[in-house]
Amino acid sequence: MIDAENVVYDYPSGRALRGVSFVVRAGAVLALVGPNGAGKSTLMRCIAALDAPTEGAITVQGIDTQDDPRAIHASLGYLPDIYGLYDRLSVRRCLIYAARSRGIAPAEAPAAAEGAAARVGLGDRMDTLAGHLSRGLRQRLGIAQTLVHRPRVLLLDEPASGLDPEARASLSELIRSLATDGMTLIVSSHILSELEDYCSEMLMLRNGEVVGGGVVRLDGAAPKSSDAEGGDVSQAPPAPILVKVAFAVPAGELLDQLGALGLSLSRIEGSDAILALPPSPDAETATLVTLVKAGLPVRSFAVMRQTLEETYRAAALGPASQAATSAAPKSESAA
Amino acid sequence: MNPELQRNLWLDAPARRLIGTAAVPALIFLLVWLVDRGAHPNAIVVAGALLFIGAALIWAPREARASVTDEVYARTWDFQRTSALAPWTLTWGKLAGATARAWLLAALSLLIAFLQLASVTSFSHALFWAIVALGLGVLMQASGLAVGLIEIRKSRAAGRPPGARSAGLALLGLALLSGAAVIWAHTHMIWSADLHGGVLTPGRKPLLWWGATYDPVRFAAVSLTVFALCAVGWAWRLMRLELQLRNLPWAWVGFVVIAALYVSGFDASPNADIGALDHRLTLAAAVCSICAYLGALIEPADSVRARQFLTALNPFGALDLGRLIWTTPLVAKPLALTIILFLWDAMIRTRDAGLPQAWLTLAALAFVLRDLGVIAGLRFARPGRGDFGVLMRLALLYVVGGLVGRLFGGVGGPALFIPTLSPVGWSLVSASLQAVLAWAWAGWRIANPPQLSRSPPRSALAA
Repeated sequence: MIDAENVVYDYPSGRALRGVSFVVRAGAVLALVGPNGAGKSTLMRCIAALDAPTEGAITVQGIDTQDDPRAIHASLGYLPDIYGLYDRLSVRRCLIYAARSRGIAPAEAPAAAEGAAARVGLGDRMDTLAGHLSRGLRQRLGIAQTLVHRPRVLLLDEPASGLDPEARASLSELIRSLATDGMTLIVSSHILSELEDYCSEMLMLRNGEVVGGGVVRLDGAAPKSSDAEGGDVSQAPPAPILVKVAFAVPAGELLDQLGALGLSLSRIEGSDAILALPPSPDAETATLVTLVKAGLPVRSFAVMRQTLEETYRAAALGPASQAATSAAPKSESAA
Repeated sequence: MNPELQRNLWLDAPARRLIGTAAVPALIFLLVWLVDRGAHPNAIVVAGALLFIGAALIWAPREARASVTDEVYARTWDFQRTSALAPWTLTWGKLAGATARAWLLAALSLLIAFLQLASVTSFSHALFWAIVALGLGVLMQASGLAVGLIEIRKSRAAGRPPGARSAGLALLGLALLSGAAVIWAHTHMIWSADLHGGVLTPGRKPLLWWGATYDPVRFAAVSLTVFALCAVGWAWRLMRLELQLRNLPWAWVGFVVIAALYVSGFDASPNADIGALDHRLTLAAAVCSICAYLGALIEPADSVRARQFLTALNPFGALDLGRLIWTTPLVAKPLALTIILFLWDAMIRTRDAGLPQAWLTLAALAFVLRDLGVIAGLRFARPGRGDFGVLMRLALLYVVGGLVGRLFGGVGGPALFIPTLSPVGWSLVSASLQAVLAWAWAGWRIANPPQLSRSPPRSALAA
């Protein structure tokens, strides 16, 4: 769906992207993460064909952003981190203009506007001036404008920035529903917790470079065969499934037995063992059966969902930081 | 309807505001009639002309410029850039929509003035002035849009919001050019203006252009129409660049060549102390030089692109022709033509007027090269610097240089800083050295750009 190859972008004052390569599969919800100044927004703008890379190439749905930028513009929706609305126009007129300017026929534009407004929950505010909307509703209108022409790809740059918790929650819900409809989304943020609810993949940038080996799968699913089409140069293997197993005896005493069963031990936490299972659908069941059949005193067996931040730290900073992170409270934190 | 036109009309030209705008000329004409009572037939014409100038030549260009720069301030420009609208749709939607009220005022004023002028002179005479007025209006309006787009590009490269100074200067330059066109038309006509009787009657003196005779009135009208179309084309091409489309590089070269041919087509006076070919070459070289200065000023000081151009040029390796075409600076093509024309002129002068005259021509070329180097150095040293500041520094080089040369170098001193004939060769040697130094400085500046306080193409700058 989106294929970036060795993308370099230079500002007069320095290099913002340094040979970025990755592939995003159709239907993915990719979290584009990294610290401030990592190059996230620059990469977004290059994908949206608003800026041309100094070197390298990006294709979206097979269209090169530099060969046919207008086709890219017409085919995707892009909401920048800082954006404006036509405050003196009503929501209806904002959306009709968005629809018409994105190639929808005049006769179909009002219906498209109604549809987009309903989708983001603005159906009852069609005649309200955009300038009179609250911040959260403005964000919804901004997103509605980008999806009024039903693009297959949506780029959202820091969409939750400045929103209150309620507005963030409803934004997450909206993004999940878009993903359910098969839309490919790239959502950038430097606040990982807000991406946790809806992202299926993650790409980490630091100092303009991809870190962590490329796109990291967050759902544990095996890559589809179509993923290999782009050469998969930067597609990292899916993350293992972590399972916390509590035993009736200290887990340290069972190391030999676990090893004999061919299980991969991630770490020991008191009487609990954290096992790393291969990311396959039946891995959990098979492992539990193996443990019980071996007569090990299993008290509980629970799949540990790795937080986005843990995945980020593990991939970007290495296992040492992962251990440190796992002990830390899982509050919202900046990566 | 064009969606961009529709949006502009929604925002800026609702019925209530249109009615209010239309009432302005009605009231002014009524006031003029009440005061004058028909004593001066020209009073209505003058009032209409002033209203037209205010609306079409000042208000409309400002609105056209604001139609893009205001999008940047409102942070909606990226939304427009990622639309599916064709560049031409966006261009004319903004030109017609953002200036709708200004043009309503201008059109009403022009109509009243036209009817009055036709009644006191002739229909064809009034028609000529109507065409001149409309041509100037379209020229200025399209230039306003183009200036806005240039400002956006330059501000993005400089990492600052769009400003107003450089645009104002460009508008001033265009206004001066437009004024020159009108003055030219004036000098080619014989006028009998009776302020009391209020009668304006153009006389007709044949115009010689490339050896053929033309009716000056028609020539002026056609010229202005062509200039206006060129300005619209210019705005459209800049809009294409904003939408990330690439422009074929030949249009700019074509414009420079046509402008040079147009200006050099005016035949020299039979009494002029200069040969016909020399006269034409001098004019053509001057036009190409002006285009080179314009190119150097209006293009963003983008050191990344400059380095890409130099890499593509790569005199020591394989030529990257594709990248070379897209990254060649605007200044390069008119400069190449300038060099060719100056060298050609120097050869002609060597043959016809002697070596000193040829050296003077080459000195003028060297000063042009120096100036372009200074402009490049100043702009790349501080990409956000306004055009006015650059031009002022350039002017100071000549003025201060001339004064210093006069104070410390005696009679021949100014020749070091201003192209003069005597002492023979001083100007050429001095300007050549200055050109080398200026370009060395510019090259260093391109290779070592200043650290900008913020990343340029953030959405905040709208890029």
